[in-house]
Amino acid sequence: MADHPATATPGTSLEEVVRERALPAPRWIVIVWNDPINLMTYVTYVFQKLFGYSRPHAQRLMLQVHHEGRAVVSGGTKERCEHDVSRLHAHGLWATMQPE
Amino acid sequence: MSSGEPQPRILRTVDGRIALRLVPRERAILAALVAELAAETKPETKADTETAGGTMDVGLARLWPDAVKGDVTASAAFRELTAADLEDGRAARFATVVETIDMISLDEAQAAAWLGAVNDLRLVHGTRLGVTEETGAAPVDETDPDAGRTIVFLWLGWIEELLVEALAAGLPEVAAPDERP
Repeated sequence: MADHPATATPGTSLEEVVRERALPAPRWIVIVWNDPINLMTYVTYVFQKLFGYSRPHAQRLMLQVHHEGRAVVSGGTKERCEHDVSRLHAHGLWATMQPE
Repeated sequence: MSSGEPQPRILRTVDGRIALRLVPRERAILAALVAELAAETKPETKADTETAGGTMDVGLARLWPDAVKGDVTASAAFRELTAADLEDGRAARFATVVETIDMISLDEAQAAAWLGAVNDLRLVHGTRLGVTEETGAAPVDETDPDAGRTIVFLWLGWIEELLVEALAAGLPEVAAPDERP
């Protein structure tokens, strides 16, 4: 990835190269925002279906969206979050992603 | 059934299919709404609006939300990347609903298409109507010029609840301990 150059500057020790390359990629998170249209039962169902969450966990996340206006529903690499956001959009949920 | 609780009009049956006990008029309304939205969301129609310098209708815009909050450029790039898949998926589910509108039962994939299409309709119609979480809590005021459209929106919500319930009954059981996002 662009943030982690594969080449090291001359004079960099092997340890430094290893340390640099081993830095974890920044973690991204996926947020679902409350909207007045999507049904609570539908949102719960989508969380279960897309992420394989248990019904109680999906329901907790849905209620967090409903009461607090937003909830973090998944996280990981940027690519994984892009994938999740596109799936949530395909299901009509109002999802965004951002670095954690 | 002559006694006891009335059966839901859409339900999962023992053979795993999703039975549709809708009357022809309900099917006709749903087919018309889906066909109308399919025409409005066709890539050609959308492109025409954009080349004509028009802004997208608020209801349709709800179907292409921003992916990166507060970052218009990143959201546009994301949309560029995902729009074709999003549009293909939507066109496919609209086509499935139209093809299966007279069926007495649906398989899992067909029912998922129905749910997706009904949800798309609710998003577009609800956004145009400016619904709030209170919409439907009180009886619809029949003198309101939007009364008819509001009733259709609420009816779509009823259909959607039934579809969600039938489809959720087919999800695999997931045992807690729980997942962290």
